[in-house]
This record gives sequence, C-alpha cells and structure tokens, in this order.
Amino acid sequence: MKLLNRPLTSGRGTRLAAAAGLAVLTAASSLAMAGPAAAAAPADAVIRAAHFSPTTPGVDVYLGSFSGASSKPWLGGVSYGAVSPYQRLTPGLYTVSMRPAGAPASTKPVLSWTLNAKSGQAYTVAGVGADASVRGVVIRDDLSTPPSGKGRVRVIQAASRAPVATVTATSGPVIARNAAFATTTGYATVDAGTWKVTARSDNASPTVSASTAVDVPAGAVTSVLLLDAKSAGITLRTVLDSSSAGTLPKGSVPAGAGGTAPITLAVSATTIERQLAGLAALILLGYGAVLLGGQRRRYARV
Amino acid sequence: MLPGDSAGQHRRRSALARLGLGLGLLAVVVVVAAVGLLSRTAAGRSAGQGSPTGSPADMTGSSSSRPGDVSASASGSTTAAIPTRTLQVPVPPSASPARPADPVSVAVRRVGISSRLERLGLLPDGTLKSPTEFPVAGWYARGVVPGAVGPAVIAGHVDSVEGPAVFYRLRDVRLGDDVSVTDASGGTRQFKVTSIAHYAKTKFPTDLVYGPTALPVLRLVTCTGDFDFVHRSYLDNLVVSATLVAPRAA
Repeated sequence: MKLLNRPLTSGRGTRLAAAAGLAVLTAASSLAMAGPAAAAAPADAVIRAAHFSPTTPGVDVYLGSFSGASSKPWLGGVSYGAVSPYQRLTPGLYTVSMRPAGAPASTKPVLSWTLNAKSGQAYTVAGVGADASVRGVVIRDDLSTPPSGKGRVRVIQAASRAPVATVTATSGPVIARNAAFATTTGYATVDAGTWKVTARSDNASPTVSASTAVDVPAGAVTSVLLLDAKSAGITLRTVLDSSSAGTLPKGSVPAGAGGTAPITLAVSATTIERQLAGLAALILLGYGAVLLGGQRRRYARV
Repeated sequence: MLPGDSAGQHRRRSALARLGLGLGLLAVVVVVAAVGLLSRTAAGRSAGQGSPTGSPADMTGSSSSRPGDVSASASGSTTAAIPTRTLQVPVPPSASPARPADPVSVAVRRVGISSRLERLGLLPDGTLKSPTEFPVAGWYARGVVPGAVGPAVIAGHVDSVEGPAVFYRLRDVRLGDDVSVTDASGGTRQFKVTSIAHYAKTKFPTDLVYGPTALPVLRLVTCTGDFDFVHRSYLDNLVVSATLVAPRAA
C-alpha cells in the first residue's frame, strides 16, 4: 500500500506501481471469479457385486478396465444370495467377470459383461438367471431422497422356484406384482416402519410363498431379495441400498455467534466485494492508459 | 480526466496530483477487496490443492481400532496390492447390518479439532438443534450412526460471542485429512475428507447434505461466510464430508 501511494515522482516508479496494482488486481479479480469456495475429490461411483443365480456355484469376481488392461481379482468366494458392501470406484468403463471360485485368473470366465460407471451413481453387478440363461447384469441403485416419513423398497426376484411372484406388505401396498424370475422391479415408496412382507408365486403349482419382517426406515432405500431357499421353497431377505440422515432436518445449521466475524462487511458482502473489484479494475485500467500515453509523448519529444 | 495535448505544465501537474489521490484511494479499495476475498476463499483454495504430501505423520498411530472395525492396513493407498477379499457369505437370512455404537467423540487431529459429542435433536420447527455448548460438537442422534451406511451429521459452532469455538478450524481442513470418531464401546473409525463445500443458508441443499448415500459418510457442519449482525447469524454453512476408510473396487 505504501509502495502504491508514494512513487508518483518518477516515471519508472509509477510504472512499477501500476504493475504492482495490476498484479494485485489480477489476483483479486481471479479470486472474485472463483465463486463459492468448494472442493471435492473427483466424485466416485460406488459398486457392489451380487450372486443371484441359484444354479451357479460360488464365483470369484474380477474387475478390469474396459480398454483391455489386466483384470484384477475383486471379490472371492461369492455364493448364491450374497451381496457385497459397496465400494468406491473411479468412474469409467469396466469389464466385470465371474469365474468359478478358486479357478485360476487365466481361465475363461463363466460370465463377462460391461459396466459404464458414472460419477455419483450406485451400481449392483450381478450374475442372474439359471442354467443356460445365466447372464451378468448391471442394476442401477436409487440414491434419490425418499419423501419425508417414507422409504423406498424394490424386489430383486432371484427365486427360480417362483417363475413369477407377487410381493405384498401385509395390510399395506403391493411392492411388486407379477415379477418374473431374474428381474429387478422399480422402487415402491412405502411408509416408514416394520412391514410383514409376503412373496407368493403366481400361476404355479404348487404355490410357494415366504414371509419376513422388513424394516423400512424413513429416508432409506432397501432391496428385498426373493431367493430359492436351501432345499425347497423360497425365502426373503433384505439388503440396505442407501440411507439418508434419518428424519431430514429442515434448512441450514445455526452454528456460530459471530465472535470471530470481521465487522467491516455484513450483508451481501460478496456482491459489494465484486463491485469494488470491478470498479478498481476500471480505474486502474484508465490510469494505466494515461500513463502509457504520457510515456509515448515523452519519448516522442526526445 | 485525460489531460489534453495542449495542456500546460501546471495543469499536467495538478492532473497528476489528482491521479495520485485517485491511485491512493484505488490502492485502498483493491487491498480491502483482495483481503476480503482472500480470507473468504483461503479455506477452499487450500483444500482444492489437496496435496498428497499433506498426510500427517501423527495420524499413523491409530491405536484404538478393534476387530471388526476398519483396520489400519486398509487405510493406505495399498488397495491395489490386496489380491482378493473374501466376502462374509452367505449373509444369514434376516441379518441386519451391525449397527455401530453411538459416537462419543470426534477428532480432526491435523487442525487440532477434538471434542466429545453431545446428542442433537430437532427443534419444533424441524431444524437441527445447535449444540448447547460452544466448545462441544454434537451428533444428530435421530440420524445415522457414524460408520453405518448413510450420512452421519456432526455439527459444531465456529465461534461464540467471545471467540473461536469447537469447529473454528474446520476452515483449515483439506481434502484427504483424517477424521476419527470413537464410539461408546471404545471403537474408533477412520474417515477421510472427500469434499469441502460452502453453501448459502438460504439455498441449503438438503438432499446433498442429508440425502441417501450408499457408503458410510460423515458430514461435519459449521457456520462460515459473512456475519449478519442484525440477525446475529452467519450467512453460509461449511460442510466437510468424509468417507469411511475402506478398500476401493477400482
């Protein structure tokens, strides 16, 4: 500041001062353009693996970049009905493959398919189907906020003993109607609470059914797995897909009394600062032009 | 303001003097604006740099992990070297994910934050109750337990009327900083900072902060920005998000 105020006596001084001023100004305006301060690591996707094929023994899951680079072992010994926890994943194209548990990585996979993982999304990669129709699928998992006081529930229909099934909450909504084996239903929005959920095969004889208590927390997203039971019949299990902060607080968080706040600028200081920076830029540019003009004249006279 | 070509020496000098006055004022304006902006964005800029060398040595001695918690071996960047992880399969029917015990303290050692936790609820209007004591942070107990799937919320004051409070130095947190939460059974969970965001309170993004996540996430919330002396409230919230340390898929 002192430097800027003093040196109007010599031409070199003023030029230096102007340069310094411009430097400060450039810094200030570039900061002004930076907008609200925010920083984030590159947003990952999240992925989990599941085994939904009742006729397929346990598998090892491999993950490789789609470009063909080496496929790495990811999860080992995944058997029917298992769902892994989510893990983070750099967005991009991947090849998912499954080999029989314990098979060398050099052997041909039994299943191999592609995942296009997008930033901020959640995916379940799963082997589904039975016998000759076994295939690998990518299931998109919901991360949107359920309405207040409600949760979302869907059915992953992986029970070959119920080729088509309807899943209902007792004295509550139908969660899935006529869901075919090896499919995933959309999410139903359900009041939060613990529901007795029953799955029953449609148009099959003998009819198979199963019931379980499904906890639907407010703000949570849940998958109900419909599976072949161990020896006969079908069974139900629940898996948490994602959870919000329970009962979502309204609005912002009051967390300061102002004891360290600078007293100079209060309301809408951002706007004021930007206007000041803009004004300063104009003044300084004008002043620079004057200086340059003066210099040129002086040299012309010599 | 531009002196004409035919201007005399005297006129030029007075013009220069006026310019000098103008430049002085300008300098004040520029410096005030720059200082204001610098102080405003310092936290964000340093966080954006997120230097990988910033991992502090004093965090390596995480002593109090217990079986079942994330082990220290999973916390480094050595995930690529881990060949195969065996799943706990099959998950027993009707098993729900283990719920961690309630949290009792939080620490961000690199910036000197360390606090026990009080339990926070909601006010009758549905807003989050702020912690009752300035030196103590609070956990939103009607929400997610730190370490369970979803965003666990911990709020702390930035200052009291007298000076800095428990989360004053949250502004100095950088990407990759370690956050640890100890629960009532003595277990400690490690989180790493993955995003730092400032939100205007008038446009607080409820879904982004409190909405569903598939991973265990921690949201450390305090106030920031300018202080409205009329309503005795800061205009912005600072939300630091940290994700539970765990192996990556890729």
